Amino acid sequence: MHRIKYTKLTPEQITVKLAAAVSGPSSTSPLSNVLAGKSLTIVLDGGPTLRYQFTGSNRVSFAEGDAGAVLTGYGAHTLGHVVLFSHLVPRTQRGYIVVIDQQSALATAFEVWFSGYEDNREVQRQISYGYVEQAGAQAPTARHGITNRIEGKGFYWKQDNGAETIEYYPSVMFSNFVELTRFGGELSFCGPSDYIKIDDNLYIYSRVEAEFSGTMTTYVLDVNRAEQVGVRLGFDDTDTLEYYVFRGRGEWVGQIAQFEPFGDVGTKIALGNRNVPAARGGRPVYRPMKTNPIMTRAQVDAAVAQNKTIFQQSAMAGNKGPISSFLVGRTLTLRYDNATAIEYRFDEIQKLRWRRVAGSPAEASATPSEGGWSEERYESWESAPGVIMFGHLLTGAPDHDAMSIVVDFDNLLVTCLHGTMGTPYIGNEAAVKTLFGVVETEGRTPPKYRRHQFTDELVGRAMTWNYSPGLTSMHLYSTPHSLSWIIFLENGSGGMEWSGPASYVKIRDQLYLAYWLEEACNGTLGTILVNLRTMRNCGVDYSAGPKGLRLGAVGAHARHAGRFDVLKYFRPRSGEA
Amino acid sequence: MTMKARSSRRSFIRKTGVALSAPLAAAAAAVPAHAEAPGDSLADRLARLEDVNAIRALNHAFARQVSAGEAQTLGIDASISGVVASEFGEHDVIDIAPDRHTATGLMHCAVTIETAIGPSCPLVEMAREQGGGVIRRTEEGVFENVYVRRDGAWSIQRSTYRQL
Repeated sequence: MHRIKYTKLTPEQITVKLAAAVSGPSSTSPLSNVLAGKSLTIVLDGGPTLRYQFTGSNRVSFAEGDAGAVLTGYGAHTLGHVVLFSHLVPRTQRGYIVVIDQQSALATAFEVWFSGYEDNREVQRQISYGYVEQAGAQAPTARHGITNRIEGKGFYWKQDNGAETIEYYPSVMFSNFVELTRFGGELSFCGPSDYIKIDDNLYIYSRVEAEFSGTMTTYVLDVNRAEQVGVRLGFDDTDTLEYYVFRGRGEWVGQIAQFEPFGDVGTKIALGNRNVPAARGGRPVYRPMKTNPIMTRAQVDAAVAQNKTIFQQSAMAGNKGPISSFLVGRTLTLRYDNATAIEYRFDEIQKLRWRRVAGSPAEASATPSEGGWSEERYESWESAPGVIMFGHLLTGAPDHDAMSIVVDFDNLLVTCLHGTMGTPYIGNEAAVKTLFGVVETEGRTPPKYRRHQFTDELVGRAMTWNYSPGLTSMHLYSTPHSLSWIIFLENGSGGMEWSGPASYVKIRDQLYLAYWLEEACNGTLGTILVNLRTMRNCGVDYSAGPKGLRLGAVGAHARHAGRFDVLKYFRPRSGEA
Repeated sequence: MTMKARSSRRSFIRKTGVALSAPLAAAAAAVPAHAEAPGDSLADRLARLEDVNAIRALNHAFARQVSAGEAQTLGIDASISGVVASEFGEHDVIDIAPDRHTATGLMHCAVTIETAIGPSCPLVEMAREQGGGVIRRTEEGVFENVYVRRDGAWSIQRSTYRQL
């Protein structure tokens, strides 16, 4: 999804595409007729009163406030005592998704509309709470409302149309979803989300794929039965309208920790000094492509020529460990399996020299040097005895290369995350290759076949990382190839979230090298060595922007936040050709 | 004005502060009887009491404005993000000049200080998007205010904060 160029649909195009949808949403499962023949008046706090006369399982007369009634199509599904239905308003780009608890008569209505944001295709929503008016009965005082009681849960879902997802709720305002069937399940993605409590079993969840297709997915879920009924509204990557109601079944994949104070059940989102945007339906939405400057390669080259910041003070490294002197005075060659070999001389605690050497040991002895020595500033940390992580730039490399390297001196193994600046999409977006290899040093024979390996041992795990006072995020290792990061709100709730490609390499037991790319975001490459015994990481982040190239240290204290049991969903599938 | 007279007036105001929620007459009655000095007539004393109340209301409005994020527009340290006046204001000292055109005040309070996390980086910027990216701490402090009365209304002419 990061790489799909979604069409900037015009309001006129959207009007044309919505015309057919007034017949109501489609559905793979038979629509519920629970509302057929009924008349409902839904009173919404601060909103219009909605009047419905359902004439069948897909036709309804609808009146909004004092406006006259219009005929439109609708679709409904029930989940236990809750009914969810949706319809559009003819000759508008608006519609409703309504959830009614038939036991309590409480109702929640999402008014939804297109062309309400600069990206017209992005569905906007305004949530109103209220109740179904009942003759002779007093209006209930209770309401559905936002909650953190579902925060930290994760589900695998399979809709009746075959669409499979894994959905994590690690925040009270964002969520993280993996499209197993639509996009192959490689990466996870994030979107602004709503979480509303109906009762202890039933919740309403809704997300908008902001920054991507703009599609809205809203459903009621039963957390015990792992069942859902919902609606999907938006335009897909071919600009085809998706407007359908669905039923789904799933599996509960786990519950990770919450970090709010005890007693805080999330009836308010703690936005600190930020005001909720005043616009109708306004909410804070992380829009990284709008807040981070997008540069061309030429702009990056010019900025890098002006300035490089190498291991300067960083908020990401307030809790970094001591810089190691382990490498000082050593000479060694790191020989990678891609035929790259680099000889190092570590002259001082933060100064090294490197030069390329021939790609194979035989060549190396014949031609010991392919180039002159280059000097770099570096930092290194000894994460575990004999395991050193260090990082440096390759000055003069055309792509402003950076190396983030983990060397296991006990086993003479090395893994390098070789970063380069610039992708086919964005000039200041990093790319990375993982290089496995061995350490050649005098008097010892490196392994011939053994190497560090990619691992899925971290997948599903969530860990908090406190980088410096006041700066803590949570990593959710969401798929074998992606990682999402969640920033905490001031009360400890999960807040904004984003996700990018990642990989995980096992260095030793409980010691992992991970990278993540802040793709379609700010372009940063983060590399960390995660030590689950010391619960600390060390690492390097690498980025470029208008202020030049930056290579910085990363260091944080960790806490376990739990784990989702999701590995089985990422195994290769057969029989789908 | 003699120092003694000034001192007695300040003492009166402190006591008034404690009895702020009590009826005006009761507060006045609580003041010990003393020899009437020039400017100390009942009318003068009531006028000063009204001034003190107006300034106290001004202080509360000031605290609300700071807590609403307007520290910078009020000319005080922008890192101050919240002010809560000390309970009942019993430590406040408000001193009305004899001509009732100016006044000084000490406003004791708990102050929330926000310090931006830095240097900035993508994670910090993301935190700022949701109202974070700062370290908050609360400290006890005092605002030393100078007030001026124009057209019958008091306003804060100058405010200086110091940590206690």
